[in-house]
Amino acid sequence: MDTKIIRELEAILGKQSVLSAREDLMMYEYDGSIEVARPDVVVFPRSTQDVVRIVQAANRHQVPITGRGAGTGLSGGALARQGGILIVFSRMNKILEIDLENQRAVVQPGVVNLDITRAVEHAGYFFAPDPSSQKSCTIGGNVAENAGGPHTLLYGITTNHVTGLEVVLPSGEVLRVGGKTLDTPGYDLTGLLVGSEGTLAIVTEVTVKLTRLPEATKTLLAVYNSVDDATETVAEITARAITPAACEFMDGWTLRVVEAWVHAGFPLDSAAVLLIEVDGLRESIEAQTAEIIDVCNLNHAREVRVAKDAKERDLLWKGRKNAFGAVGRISPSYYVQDGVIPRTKLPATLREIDVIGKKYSFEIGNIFHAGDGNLHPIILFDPRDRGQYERAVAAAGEIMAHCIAVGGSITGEHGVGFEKSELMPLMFTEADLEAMRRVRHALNPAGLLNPGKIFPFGKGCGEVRVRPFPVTSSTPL
Amino acid sequence: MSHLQDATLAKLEALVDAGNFFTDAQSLARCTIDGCAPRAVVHASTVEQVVEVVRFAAAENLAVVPHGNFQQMGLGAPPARYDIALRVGLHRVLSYDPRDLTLSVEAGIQLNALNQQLREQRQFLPLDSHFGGFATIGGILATNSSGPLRHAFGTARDFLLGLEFVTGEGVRTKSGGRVVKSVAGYDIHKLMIGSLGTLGVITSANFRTFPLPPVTATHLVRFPALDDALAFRRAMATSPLQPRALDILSPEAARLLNSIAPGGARELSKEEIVQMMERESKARRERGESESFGMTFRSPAPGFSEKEWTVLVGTGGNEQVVERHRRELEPMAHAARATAFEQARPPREPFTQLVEDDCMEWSYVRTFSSVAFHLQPAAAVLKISVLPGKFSDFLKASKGIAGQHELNSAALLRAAGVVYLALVPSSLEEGPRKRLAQACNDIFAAAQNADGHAVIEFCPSALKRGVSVWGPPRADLALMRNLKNEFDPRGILSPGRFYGGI
Repeated sequence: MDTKIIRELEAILGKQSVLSAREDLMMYEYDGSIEVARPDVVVFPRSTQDVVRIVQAANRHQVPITGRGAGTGLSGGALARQGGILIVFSRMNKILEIDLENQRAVVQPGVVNLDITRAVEHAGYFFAPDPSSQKSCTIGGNVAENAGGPHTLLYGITTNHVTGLEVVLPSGEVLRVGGKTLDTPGYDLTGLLVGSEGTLAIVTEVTVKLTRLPEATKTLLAVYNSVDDATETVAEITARAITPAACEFMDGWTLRVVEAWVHAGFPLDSAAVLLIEVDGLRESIEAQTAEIIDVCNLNHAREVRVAKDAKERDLLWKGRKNAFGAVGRISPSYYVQDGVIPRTKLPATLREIDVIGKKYSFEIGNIFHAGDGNLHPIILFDPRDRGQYERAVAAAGEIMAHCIAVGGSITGEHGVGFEKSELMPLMFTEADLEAMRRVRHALNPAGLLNPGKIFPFGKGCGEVRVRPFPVTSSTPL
Repeated sequence: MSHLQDATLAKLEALVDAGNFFTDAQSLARCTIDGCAPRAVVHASTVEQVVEVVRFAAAENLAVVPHGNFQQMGLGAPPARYDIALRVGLHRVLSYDPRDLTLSVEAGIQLNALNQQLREQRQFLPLDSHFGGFATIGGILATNSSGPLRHAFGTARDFLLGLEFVTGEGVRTKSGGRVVKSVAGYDIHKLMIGSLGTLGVITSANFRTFPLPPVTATHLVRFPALDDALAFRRAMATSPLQPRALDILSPEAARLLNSIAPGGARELSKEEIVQMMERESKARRERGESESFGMTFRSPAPGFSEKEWTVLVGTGGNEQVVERHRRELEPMAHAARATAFEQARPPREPFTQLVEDDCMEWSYVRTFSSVAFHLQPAAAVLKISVLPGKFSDFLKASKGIAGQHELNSAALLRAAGVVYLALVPSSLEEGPRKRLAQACNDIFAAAQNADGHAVIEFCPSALKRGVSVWGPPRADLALMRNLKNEFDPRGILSPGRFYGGI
């Protein structure tokens, strides 16, 4: 990159807000995915006006811009795939307004997800979307990826909780879309921008809904001797139209890995557990709990434990939310999938994943949002071994193809990014993709915003592309 | 405007099934929008026919206005040009997986017909419209219609999973998926919601369905003043209670709704009702206005208090949940100075508008906007998005505006953050109409002062010549124009009907 751009950015933001040394940039070539891409320069704006000037500079020099929150994303969304400027929002981290009467908060994009809840829970409110990374991921990243989480089963995903945005367009213009109120006249630009993975505009302010904390919560752990019994339980809970607040599946392999680290009290000899939570009015959760226990027992649960108190509940959730961290302790690398299937197809799909794992000689762990049918198979592999890497990608492709074949989706909450861009033709026709390209053209005509994401490069007919081997000397082990 | 040659008409006719093409005066009159009649009325009975008609229209530069049951066509501005009225006559349920609570339907199916099917599985789709259950799914989506149940379920954007539509170039396109969670690709289906047929012709939609609660109950609570009713709302909002629906009716709105049953307490037969509706819609056509009849005539009269503010609280769940709401709502209401707390009676057959209604009152309230216009054809009915915390100030401002311009006003407040306001002039004469136009502009400004925005949902065609029904455009219009150009580069889909003249 032309050092002139870096000097310009330093002049705009000050030297302490611009990183361009190789060793500094290496810190930003990763996110939570298995992809790697190094930006040419990293900048830390403090205000919307800073962002405007960064975008204007990028325009003058025609270099790509990619936004980044905490870098916890799992699809490569926050990586500068084609280099250029990486805008990191860690210094735009203020909660600007809390309006309890109208159940809204206005926040900057760098605010950590959980910090919104922490700021309002004293008054009996919370911010509902709860990605497992909620202690570190930012609201800007949540908006870009339309993030989900365990409790989105009942409460909905990010898009259901965002009513307005302030954005900087690729032209450098600042625009407000939506607002605190609902049903803004005109097209629903807020609905379009949430989940657009930073390819249409740069979000500089987010207006979110705050939700009343439930009066009562009950957390259950159902323990099974077979995976099938656990998945049949989920299918039956869904079929009875019981909507728990959360319904999470962990197979025996995963929970043993988790238990070794978190000591949540998961039974080490089980084949699978379901972590089920119900919340709401006392009268409602009592009945729901009874019915869920009934379904668990009908499906041969070995045991159904009910968390005695908040401490026990928190421990169970700690186990669930730190699962990926636990897996990281035992494998050089792992590849998390994000397929979605109809809930009725859960038992058959888990069997299929098992078959695919055996075919490619991988241990595939399963820990996922079962109530939504949102699978997260984890493929463990060693990135130093090129053969393993390629087999991991191939196995993932087969799992995705299966999800689509049963009427599902290639991503439930992680986003397409560049991890799954080549899989898009599995779900969408060329005409569908062309419509999406036109949307991008309407907002981001020069293509400078987060290039190389969402859209497949190949004139693909659904073939899984084996990506170039990404390992560099800096790959973490 | 281009004159349609016979040869062009013949080609258009050949694109659809025999008997689905109309150019007779009566058919054209039936599809009049704000005094604008089309050149031809076409019913498409397959997606391929929708594609063919739109492609043909694009090639011949003919303007197409899609519709379902032609009920909500009074919404929006008059079309800038209008050649083809395209009815999307696709009525099938494409797939329904009750055990997954997901559904895929064609756009022309009526909400009530669909919910009757879902009811067999004790499920439903919490969509709604000012015209009740006779609206089509495509029409509800294109107009972003909603009703009392939005309090608990949100609007279509909250449970629409995916959509298929035909672009202005006649390309069959989809976005989203069929499963309850998918973030693959742009949510173009969210753009289509409320786009009034300007981006594409909706042909099918995928939804998540919801369980019908085993028990429901509706409470009618009366208050001497708006601020008392709002105090009750606040008490509910900060309690653990979870009402399904929460609407507030002004005394004037109550009077208006009470007057819609001309039979008084006598129950009308179905035949009588149909005859009255036909008479009314004929009169409307003769005035050169859209035929936007609702289910106006029902019986008996709802009997809302005309002196007080009425709060309607819908509750649902198991018996214990419903009982707890009743037990706790009553003292909450009295603490807010309620003068009466009653449970609504179950509906009498045959005319509730939605299969899941538990009392007649909801069917009156949900149609407030269309009914107000129906009974007062000189009126303007506005929809104002305003936060509940600003309801009181906004209502006071709107009362002042109405008085200043010598208009009567009636309001329905939906606690999620929407006010429906009917401004009623003494007549359609020029003087009152000018005052009405000025009042609408003042309401636009008052809504902005309350950090919200207003649009006119229904008003006489004549008023639309002086006032933009969408209110003053905002800075976001340029982007919307870009999007419109990408999806409909020739500008043939519902031209001029939408926000900012799109």
